[in-house]
Amino acid sequence: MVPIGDNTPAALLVLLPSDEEIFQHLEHFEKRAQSCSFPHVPDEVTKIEVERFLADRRSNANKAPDMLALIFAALAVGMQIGVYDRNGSQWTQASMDESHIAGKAWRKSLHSLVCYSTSH
Amino acid sequence: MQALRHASFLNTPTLLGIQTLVMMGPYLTNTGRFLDAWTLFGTTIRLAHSMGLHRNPKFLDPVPPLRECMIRRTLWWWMLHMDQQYSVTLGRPLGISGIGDCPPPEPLTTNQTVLRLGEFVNHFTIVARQILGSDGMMSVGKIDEYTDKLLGLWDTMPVTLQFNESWTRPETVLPDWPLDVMSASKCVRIFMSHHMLTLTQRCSLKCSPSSYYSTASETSVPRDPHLQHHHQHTPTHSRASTAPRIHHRVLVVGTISIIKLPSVVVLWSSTARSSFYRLSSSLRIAIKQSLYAGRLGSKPSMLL
Repeated sequence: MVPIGDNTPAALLVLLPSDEEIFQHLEHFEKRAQSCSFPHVPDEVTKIEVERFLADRRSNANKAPDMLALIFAALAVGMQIGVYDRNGSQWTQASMDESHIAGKAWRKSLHSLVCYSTSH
Repeated sequence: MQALRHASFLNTPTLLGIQTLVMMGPYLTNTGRFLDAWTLFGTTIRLAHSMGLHRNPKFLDPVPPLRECMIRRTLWWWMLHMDQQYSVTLGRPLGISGIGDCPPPEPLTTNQTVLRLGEFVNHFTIVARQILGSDGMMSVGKIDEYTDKLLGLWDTMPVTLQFNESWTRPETVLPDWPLDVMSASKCVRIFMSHHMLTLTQRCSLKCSPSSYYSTASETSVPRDPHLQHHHQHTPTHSRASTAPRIHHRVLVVGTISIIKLPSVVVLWSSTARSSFYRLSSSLRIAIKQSLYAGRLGSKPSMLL
């Protein structure tokens, strides 16, 4: 039984969007982030690795919280830089605001992971 | 659970954790939280040092697997680059005190344009860090030396990637993604560094006017023909009264004319630091306006 608390990685899993949305954001990350936001696409956020992680997400999140943090970070960046592509190749204020709100939640997730890690 | 308890984020850093933190920098920057990014990056630097990212992976014991060696090199040089970006944008000291002996990453491509751009970025990172590392204390001769280095470096950029005003015109064919955005942002970087040099000179003139006159002969000849003409015909006897102003102009206008940035970016104010910050912001806005106007096509405006 995995203990659930405000800062445990398992509790943060509820903040993950649907798998479909996860892979959409990761695709945007892979397509747009390289060279602009990050020098390379880490193997750990490739589709196959994330699928493996999500297959047993609760257990894996506890075993490798840094992997979960990396996924959250890649999702936040992917969502941010994918606004243009998702919105019919144009920037709109509404779509940017939407991504900003979702990104905030994931940033809090990262913060929680840091708190959890430093307190154990 | 026990394994997780031992996997503490700060006292047992991992490559995954550092990659996460590095990744968050641009995200925070692009949501207007530049100061958060700056602080977070300070922690990231400590973690990277504690993992020996600044060292040549081959010297580590045990030597990491080849794949990890590549990630370490890529990550460290990206951090060096980010460090100078934060420093030059906020006008604060560099966070990483030394480059270390970690060699630059070996590009995994045979595309000559990408290879040259990669070399440009690495060389620029070194030069920009040298400029920023001087902490504003630099002789005029040294300023000119760095000016020449920056301009020489600009010439190594593939012509098709040399950002200029024509990029804002619809008829101009732009390089493919992500080379267009990358080269535009590198242009901003090089101009910002040069601006920093100019401000350094301004400070040095204020602090020690004599330093200018004693090294005036070291002043390099500007490349722009008009400036060259002006420079060569400055009467020696009048140099004492006019040289600082001319030299200053040579530095600023020389860069503008060579890089051909929109004139809107040439802003000056009496306070060097605020002027610099305002300029860097204006440059970013100018480029972003181009991006938003659709001239840089389907390119997210991740300039920082």
